Amino acid sequence: MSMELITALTIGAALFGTGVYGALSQTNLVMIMMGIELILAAALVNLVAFWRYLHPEAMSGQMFVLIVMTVMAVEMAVGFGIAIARFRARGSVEMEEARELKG
Amino acid sequence: MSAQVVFLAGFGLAAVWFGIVVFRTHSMVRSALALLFSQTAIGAMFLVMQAEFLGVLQIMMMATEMSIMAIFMVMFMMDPGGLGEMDMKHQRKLSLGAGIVAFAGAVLVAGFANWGPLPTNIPDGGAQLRLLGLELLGRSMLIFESAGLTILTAMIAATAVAVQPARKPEPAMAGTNSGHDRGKATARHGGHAAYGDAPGHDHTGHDTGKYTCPMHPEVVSDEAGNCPKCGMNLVPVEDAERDTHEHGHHHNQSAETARYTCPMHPEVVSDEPGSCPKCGMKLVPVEAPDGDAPAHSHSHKERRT
Amino acid sequence: MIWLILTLLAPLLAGLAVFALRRAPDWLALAGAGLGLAGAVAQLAQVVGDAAPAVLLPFLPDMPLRLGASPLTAVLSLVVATVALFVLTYAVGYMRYDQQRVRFFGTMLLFVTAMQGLVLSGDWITLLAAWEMIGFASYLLIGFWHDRPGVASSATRAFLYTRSADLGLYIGAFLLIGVAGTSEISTSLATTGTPALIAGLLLLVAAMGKSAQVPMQDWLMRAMAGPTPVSGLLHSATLVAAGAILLIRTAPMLPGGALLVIGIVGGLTAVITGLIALAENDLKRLLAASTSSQYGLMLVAVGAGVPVAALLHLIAHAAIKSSLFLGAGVFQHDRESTGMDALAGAGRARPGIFAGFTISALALAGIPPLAGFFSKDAVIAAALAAPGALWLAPLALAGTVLTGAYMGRALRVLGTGAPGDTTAPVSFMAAGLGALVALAALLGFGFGPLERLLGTELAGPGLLAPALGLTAALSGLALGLLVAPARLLGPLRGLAQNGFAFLGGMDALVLRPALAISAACERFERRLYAAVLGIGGITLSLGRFARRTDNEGIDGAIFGLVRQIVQTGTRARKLQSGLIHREMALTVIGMAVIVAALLAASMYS
Repeated sequence: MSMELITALTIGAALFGTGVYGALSQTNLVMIMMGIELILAAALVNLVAFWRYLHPEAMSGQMFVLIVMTVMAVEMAVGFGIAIARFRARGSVEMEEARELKG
Repeated sequence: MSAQVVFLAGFGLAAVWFGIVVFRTHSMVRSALALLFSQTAIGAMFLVMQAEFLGVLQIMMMATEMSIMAIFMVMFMMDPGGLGEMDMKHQRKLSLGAGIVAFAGAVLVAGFANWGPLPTNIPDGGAQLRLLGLELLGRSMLIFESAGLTILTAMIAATAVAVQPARKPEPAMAGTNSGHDRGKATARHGGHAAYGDAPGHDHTGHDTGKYTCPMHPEVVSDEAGNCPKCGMNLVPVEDAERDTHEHGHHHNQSAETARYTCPMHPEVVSDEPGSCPKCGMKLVPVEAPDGDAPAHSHSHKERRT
Repeated sequence: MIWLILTLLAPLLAGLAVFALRRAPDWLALAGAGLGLAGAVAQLAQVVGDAAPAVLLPFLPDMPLRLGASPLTAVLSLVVATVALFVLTYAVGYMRYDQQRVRFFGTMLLFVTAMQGLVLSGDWITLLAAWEMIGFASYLLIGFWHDRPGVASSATRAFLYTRSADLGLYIGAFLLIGVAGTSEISTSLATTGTPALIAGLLLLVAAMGKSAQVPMQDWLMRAMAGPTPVSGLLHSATLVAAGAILLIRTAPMLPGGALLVIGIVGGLTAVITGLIALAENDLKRLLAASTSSQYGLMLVAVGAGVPVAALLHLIAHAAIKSSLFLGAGVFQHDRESTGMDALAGAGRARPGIFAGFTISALALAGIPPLAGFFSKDAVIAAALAAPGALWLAPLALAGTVLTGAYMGRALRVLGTGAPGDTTAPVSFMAAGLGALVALAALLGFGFGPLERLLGTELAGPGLLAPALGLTAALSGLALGLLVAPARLLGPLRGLAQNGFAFLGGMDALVLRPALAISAACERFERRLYAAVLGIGGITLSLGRFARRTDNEGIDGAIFGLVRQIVQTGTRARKLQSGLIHREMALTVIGMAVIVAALLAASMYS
């Protein structure tokens, strides 16, 4: 139980909490995506910490990090595509008005 | 390794701080910049943890991504500068609670788990790269190839989603704008992602001279301007209703047959655009039974002013 | 045999035709009665020729139904047919304006059929059945005008009296069948000893009921509530004769003790009902009491051991009394009533009818050379020669005196007073009446051949009997014609007018208890019915309870469940608000739950 690991994990937890708070509390789609970015960054921090402080010889840890970064990029691309379509259709990306899926 | 702890803590706290700033500021640009700095701090943390490749990668990628995000921010926000100081949050307590619970849960798990001893043998940067390369092209080749395919698919999908569908050409168009200067409409031929000017967007009806807000159809004004409720630019009546259509609606509208009906309740017919009294959906123009040409003619685009 | 069948079938078919066709009832009745008479005459001719036609119908094993014509039964059948024809002729005129003629003639014809069946019956079962039938027909006919007050109760009273007396016939008949081993009447007449005595007394009880002997004489007087043709046919010549006919037929079997009782009963009846007749204020009731009195004389003859005398008197009385009733009916038509006060002088308005009435009255009193003289002489002679002559003779003579007295009184009432107006001409009535009067006058001359036919020659009456009889008759007539009945009867008048009711009479002893029992039975049955309905009500309420349980309970539960589910769905639907942030919040919560579950699982495993 090293302090470095605990520190890194705590930072990762804080980033994760901030990201969750932001994703849930924002009304704008872009801001929500920012929150999701923070969540994924937290995951990245944790992954790197685990690689560095538990298994530095296993490169699969870094591989995982690359994949998560890929996911971040993909998510941003698709998310902004949806945002553009939405903006074109409704004139805004405020998620408060997105009630079409109401049951 | 106390130096690592200190740097980790320092960069980490900076990342967290900038992350909080993202959601506390009213300016959108500042949010994007804050996020950029937060991600950069995370990259620095990676460097501190001796994952040099990853750290550099993180900083480069995030810089680019955040810039793009800033562009989108400015595009989509009604108040990018944040001067209006509007409070755009909802379900605050729930989200605050969720955030705190998430933080606490992660910390507890981290604190109570038995992680084992600290390793001592860390490969240096070059060795890491070599090992990473071997990993990529060896064991994780399939994963990487799948990731690449996934990125390609995502790019195509995002482009498809974002591309505006083609619309019928329109004879004439008064100068309206919503966020963009329409004076340049004559030079546009499509491929615009701007509001109302994407390829295929044809206005076959003439302008009635009234302007309405896309978000608030009940707001109707005789001159262009801003919507008093939300501040968006007012658009001509036909454009507004046309742009709220989903793809696939064909319209051949003349001034005489300016009737609107509800897509779900065909029996509801009105002369004014608005909302259906039964379900609340926006009324769409009634298609005339004759001369309903498929909505993909671009021949009249040049008639737009 | 065919004539026997015709005698029975003709009135039966005519009656059924009247009920079925409901038109021309009078002509159908006359046709039926006429054919019946033809059959009876031919049957008598057969019997005279020493034939014995009989009909056998299978019934119970060893007890077939027999109808047979012997000299006695053939003569009686002829009497019934004759009186029936003439009374029906009279009834055509009497009932001309009545609305219910169909019912009347049909019932009369059915009665004639039943009477012929009784007279010609060869076994006890048939006799019992016919006995009941004539009682039932009498009930229907007495109560013919049932809308009028008192008529229905008279009919009920008559039925109950005779019915209660019929018990004697039932027990006696079954006793004889049991003793003789067969139901054939002629065979069972060979019974002797105690069974014969008991059977005889029981049969006497039945005869007392049917022939209106004391103490059961009241029903006959009340039966006058029916139409006059009914009185003329049933209650003078046929139905009341059934009692006497029964005793005459079973006379060979009756031992001396029974005969004595019969004679005394008859004698007492003759005197008591004679007194009642004398005190009566209604002509028809007078004649009814007279009928009881005359049948009392017949029973005296049977009790004296000379049933032939009773038979002769029966035949004569049939013609006489029916003609008297028919005449009274004509006067009733004129004066709309049969009260003595109303009828005063009615005879003077119709001299012809009155003449016939007078002839019949004199015949009844016993004036030669009318039929009644011969028959009454035979009775008196028999009474004088009887073993119990000490009792029987005075009673018979007293009865004769009273006969003359009340007939004289009737004649006096009818003959004195203002003539008044007459109604329409009465051709049919006069025809029927005239025929019977002729018979009343002339039948006496046929008694000799009749005795020869029956094989019983009466000893010559001698001198004593006719002399006594004539004296009695004349003195009686004189008394009746000249002296007012109030003076005549003196202290007895009040009693006589009440019908010598004793201990409340048959009313209190028989009628009221019987009606009270039947009312109690009806109340009990009503309670049973209510109980059954109550049980049904319980079942219904059980069903209602079940239905309510089903509707409210089960359906309520089911629909309540449905409502709850719908409400739950409505509430659950709020989860899907379509708002992105809510969906994300749900996702976060879900993920937290899954992570917590995984951690907990890893901690425990």
